[in-house]
Amino acid sequence: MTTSSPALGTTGTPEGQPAAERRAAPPAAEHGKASQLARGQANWAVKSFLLVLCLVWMVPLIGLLVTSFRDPDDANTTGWWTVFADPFGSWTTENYSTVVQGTMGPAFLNSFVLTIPATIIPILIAAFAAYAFTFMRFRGRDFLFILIVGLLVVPNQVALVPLLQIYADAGLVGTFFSVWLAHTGFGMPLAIFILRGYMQTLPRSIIESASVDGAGHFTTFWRLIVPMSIPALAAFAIFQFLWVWNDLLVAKLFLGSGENEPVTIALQSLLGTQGQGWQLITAGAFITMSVPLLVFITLQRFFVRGLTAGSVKG
Amino acid sequence: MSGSTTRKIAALSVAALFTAGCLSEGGGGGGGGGGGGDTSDGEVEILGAFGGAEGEAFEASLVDFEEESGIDVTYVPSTDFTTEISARVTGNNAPDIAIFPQPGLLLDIASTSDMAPLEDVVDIDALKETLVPGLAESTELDGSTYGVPMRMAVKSVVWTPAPEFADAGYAAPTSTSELTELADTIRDSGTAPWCIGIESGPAIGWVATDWIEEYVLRVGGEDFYNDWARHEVPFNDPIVVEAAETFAEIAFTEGNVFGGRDSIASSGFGNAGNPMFEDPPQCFMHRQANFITTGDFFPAEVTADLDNQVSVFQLPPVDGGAAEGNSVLLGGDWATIFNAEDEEVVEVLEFLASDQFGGPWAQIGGWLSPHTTFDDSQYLDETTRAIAGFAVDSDTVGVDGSDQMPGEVGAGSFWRGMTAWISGQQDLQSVLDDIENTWPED
Amino acid sequence: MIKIINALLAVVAGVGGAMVLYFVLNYAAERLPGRWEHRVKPYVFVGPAVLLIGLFLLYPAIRTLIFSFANRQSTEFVGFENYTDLLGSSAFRTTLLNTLLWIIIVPAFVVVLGLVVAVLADRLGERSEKAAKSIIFLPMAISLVGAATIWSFVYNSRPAGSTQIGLLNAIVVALGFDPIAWLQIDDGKLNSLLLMIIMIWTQAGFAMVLLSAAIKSVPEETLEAARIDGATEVQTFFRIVVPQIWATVITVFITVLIGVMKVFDIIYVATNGNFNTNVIGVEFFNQIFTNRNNGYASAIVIMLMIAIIPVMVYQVRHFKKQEANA
Repeated sequence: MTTSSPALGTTGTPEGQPAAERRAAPPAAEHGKASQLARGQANWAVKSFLLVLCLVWMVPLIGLLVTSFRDPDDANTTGWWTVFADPFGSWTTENYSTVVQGTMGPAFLNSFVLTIPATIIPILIAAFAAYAFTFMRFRGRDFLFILIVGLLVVPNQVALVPLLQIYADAGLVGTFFSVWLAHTGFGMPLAIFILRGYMQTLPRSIIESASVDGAGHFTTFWRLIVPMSIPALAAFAIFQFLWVWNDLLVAKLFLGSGENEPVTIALQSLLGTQGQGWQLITAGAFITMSVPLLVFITLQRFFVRGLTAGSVKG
Repeated sequence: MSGSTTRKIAALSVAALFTAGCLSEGGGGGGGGGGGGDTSDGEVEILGAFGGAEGEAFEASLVDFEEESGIDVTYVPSTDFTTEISARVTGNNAPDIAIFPQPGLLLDIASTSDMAPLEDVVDIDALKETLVPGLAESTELDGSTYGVPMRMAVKSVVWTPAPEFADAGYAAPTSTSELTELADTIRDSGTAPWCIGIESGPAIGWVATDWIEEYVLRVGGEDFYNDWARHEVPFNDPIVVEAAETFAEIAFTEGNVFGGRDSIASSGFGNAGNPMFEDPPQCFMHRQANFITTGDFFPAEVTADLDNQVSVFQLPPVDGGAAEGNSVLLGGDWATIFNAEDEEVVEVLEFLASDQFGGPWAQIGGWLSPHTTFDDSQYLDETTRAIAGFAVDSDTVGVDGSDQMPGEVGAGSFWRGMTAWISGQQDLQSVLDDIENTWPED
Repeated sequence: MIKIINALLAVVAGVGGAMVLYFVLNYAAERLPGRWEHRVKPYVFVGPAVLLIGLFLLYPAIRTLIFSFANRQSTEFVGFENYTDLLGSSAFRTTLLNTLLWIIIVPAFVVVLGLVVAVLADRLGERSEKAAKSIIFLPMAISLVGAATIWSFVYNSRPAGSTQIGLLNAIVVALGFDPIAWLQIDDGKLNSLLLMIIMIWTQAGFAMVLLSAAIKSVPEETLEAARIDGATEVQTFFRIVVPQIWATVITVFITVLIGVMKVFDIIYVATNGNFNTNVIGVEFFNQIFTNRNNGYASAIVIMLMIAIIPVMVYQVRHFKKQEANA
C-alpha cells in the first residue's frame, strides 16, 4: 500500500495514519515512501513458518473441495487425502449436478434479493446518521452516539422473539421486507460507528466551502461526502454482505423455508430426516461460498482502507 | 424537479418499499394461518421435516390426488422443523398443514396455540380401526386428538449381513437369552457381534434413547411405557434402571461392540453398521430403524440388492418382561391442521391420513404405512414387507418416548445423559436422576 | 424469468424506496421556515437510524429484561427464580465457565496470530505477501456452520480397526496409536480448545488485514530514528510500532470478543454442547427453541449482557478519549 488511494488523493489525507500524527505530518506526497519494516528481508525461518501456516490454513478447505467431488461410498470409507495417491481415480461431479438441479437455483436468486437491499439500505441510513453525527450540531448528539457505541455489543439474539411477535402483528412474517429491516437494524450500530470514524478524517474545510457556495447539507452529503467515503462504505458493505449472505438464523425465523428461502436454508433442506444426502452439502457449501469469496476478492482493497482510517487513531 | 413530481415519485416508491417484500410471496403462507385464512383458493401449503429425496417422494405421492381433486399442494421441507414451526406459529404465519416428526412438540404447540382438535374435521375413530394401535393415541391431549400419522418408522429392526450370517450357521434369536447366546458365540469366534454408533451431530445420543426405550417397553410393558413417556411415573423408575442395564450388557460387555464402548459415542449412527458388510464382517448385528436403507448409509451395493445382502429380525422380548408377546418401537410423522375452516385443506389431510396414501412413496422406498390395511405388495422388497410386518403383527406397541417427552428431556437431557453414560463420564443412576430433575414442571 | 423480474423489482423497490424516504423527509424539512429547518434537519438525518436501533435493539433488550423475571410462557412473574435456577445448576455453571474460557483465549490468540502473520508477511516479496494474506483471510468468507462442517473432516473419529476419514486420527493411527474421539475429551478442556481453533481459523485473517494496514502506516522516520539509536528489530517493534498500532489492536480485540460472546454455530453443529463444551449462545438457542422456555432464555441473554457491560464501558471510555484527542 505505497500509493495513496484515488478517493483520498484529492483530499491530500494519508490513509490510516494516527490522527495526531496526521495533523503534524506533511501531506502524503512529501511523506516519501510509506513505512515498510523490512521488505524482502525474510529469512528461511520466516518463510517456512508462513508456508506451514498457509498449508495448515488450506488443509480443511482442500478436504472439503476434494470430498465434494467424491462418490459418497468412497467418502464414507476412505479419507479424502487418499485421492492424492490415485489422482486419476474415481471423481464425480454428480454432487454438483444434483445440487444445481434442486432448489439451489431459485435460492441463489433469493439470496441476492435478500442480501443486496439488506446491505445497501443500512449503509444509506447509517451514512446519513454518520454525516449528522460528524458535521451537524444538534441537541442529544453525543448522548445518542454513545448509546450507539454501547449497543454495538448487545447480542442480536435478544431481538429475535420480540421482533417475531411485532412482525406477526404487522403480517410481515415470510416477506423479504421483514428480513431487510431486521438486518438493517442489527447492522446499524457497526455501520454508524465505522462510517462516522471515517467521515471524521475528511477535511472540514471542504464542507465549509461547499456551504459558502450555497450547497445545503443534502447536496453536500450526496455530492461530496458519499463519493469521498467510498472506502468506508465498501468496507462495511463487505462485512454486512458476508454476514447476511451466511446468515441462517434470521432468515429461518423471519423468512422460513419454501419459495423465498435463501441458499443457507436450501443447503440444509438437501438433507433427509436422518441426514441422508450429506455429501450434497459439500458441493452445496462450495457453491454457496463462491459469492462471498468473489465479493471479498473484488472489494478487498477497500476493506483495509475503509476500516483502518476510522479505527487507527491515537 | 418540480415539487409535485417529486411528491408523486416519493409516494409511489414508499408504497413500493412496503410491498416489495411481498412481491414474490407465495404458496398460501401469507394468509395469516392459524385458522385465519378461510377462503378456499385451491392451494394448500404443507410444512414438513423431511427434505431431499424424501421430500420428492412425498410430492410424488400427491400427484394423482392433486390431479383428481384440482387442489394444488405445495410442500415446504424444513430441516430445522422445530425452530421453524415455532417461529411460524408465533409469527402468525402457520402453514395449512404441518407434518410433525414428534408428537411431543405437536402437543406442546397444541396446548399453547388455538389449534382445533382433529375430531372436529376427520373421523378419528374410523381411522383408529385400521391404524397400528398407539400411533394416533400418542397425539391425544385431554381426550382430543391433534395429529394423524402419515408415516411410520419401525425401530426394533436388527440388521445382519445375510450371506455371512447364514454361512456361519447363526439363527435369528427369539428371546433375549438367545440373543445373548448368539452374541457370545459370535464373540468367541473372534468377531464383535454388534456395531453401535450414536453420534449424530447436534442430535448426538438419540440412538441410545431408542435402545433404552426398546427395553423399557419390553421390561415394563405397554402401560408402564406409556406412563413413563408421559411422566406419570418418574423417569428414573427402577424398571428403567433394569432396562438400561439390559442394554448395557449388550453395549458394554468387553468385546461385544466393534471398536469397544469408547467408540460408540464417536461413531456416526448412519455408517456405524457398515463394518457388517466388510469382508470378513467386522460385526454381525446392528439395530437401527428402517430408514437406514435409504440415502447413503448402507453401501450402495448392499442397498441395490437388499433382499440378498441383508436379513432382519425383530429385537426379541426380554425373558420375564411384562410385555405381552413381541414388542415393537415405532416412530412416525404426524399430520395436523392449522386451517380447519378450509375444506380443501381438510380434504388433503383426509387423504394423508388414509390407507390410500403413499403408494408411490412405498415404491421409491423409505416409507411405511401406519395402516394395517395398506396394500403391502406396493413395498419395494421383501425386507421392507417383513419390517412392516413387525409393526402390524406385534402385541406390544410403543411410540418413541423421547419424541413424546418435552424438549428439555426428549431432545435435551435424555440425549445428553445417554451420551455421558455411554462415554463413561457419568454412572447410570446419576444420569437417570439428572434427567428426572430436568423434567419441566407444568 | 418472472422470478428474476420480480427479484429485480424487489431489489430496486427496496433500495429506491429507502432513498426516496430521505428525499421526501429532506424536502419536507426544507419547506419549514428558516430556523426550524436547521433545527429539524439533523433529526431527519439521524431519525431513521435511531428509530431502527430503538426498535431492533433497545426495545427487545428491555422486553427481554422483563421476561427474564417471568415464567416459561411469560404469563406470570416469578421473581429471580430463572436466575437462581440457572446459576444453581452445575451444568449451567460449566456453560458459564466455558464461555469465559472462549472469551479469554480466542480474542487474544486471534490478535497475536494476526499480528505475527502481519509482521512476518511484511518481510516477504510483494507477490508472496499477497498470496499468504489471501490464504489466511479466505476462511472469513465462510459461514461458521460451514466452518464447523469443514473441520469435521479433521476431527472425525471411527472405531479402532476401521479406516479413519478424519485427518487428525489418520495421523494418530499411522503413528501406531488408537484413534481418539477428539471432541469428546474434556480433560484439560481439550475439546473446547479444538472448537476454539475453528473460530481462530475464521477470524485470524480479519485481525491480520487490519493490523497489517496499521503497521504499514507507521511512519518510516520513526523506525529509522530508532534504528539509528541502535535498537534491535524486536525493540523497534515493541517500542515504536506497538504503541502506534495500539488503537487498532483494541478495535480488533473488541470486535472479535463481541463475536466470541455470541458464538453459537460452531458448537451447535459440532457437539450441541455435549461433553462439557456448552456455551451461552448454544444454551440460549436450546432454551428458546428446543425447550420453548422463554424465561430461562431471557435470563441467559440478560446475563450475557451483564457480562458485556465492562466491554461496553471500556468501549465508551475509549471513544470519549478519542474524541478528546481529535
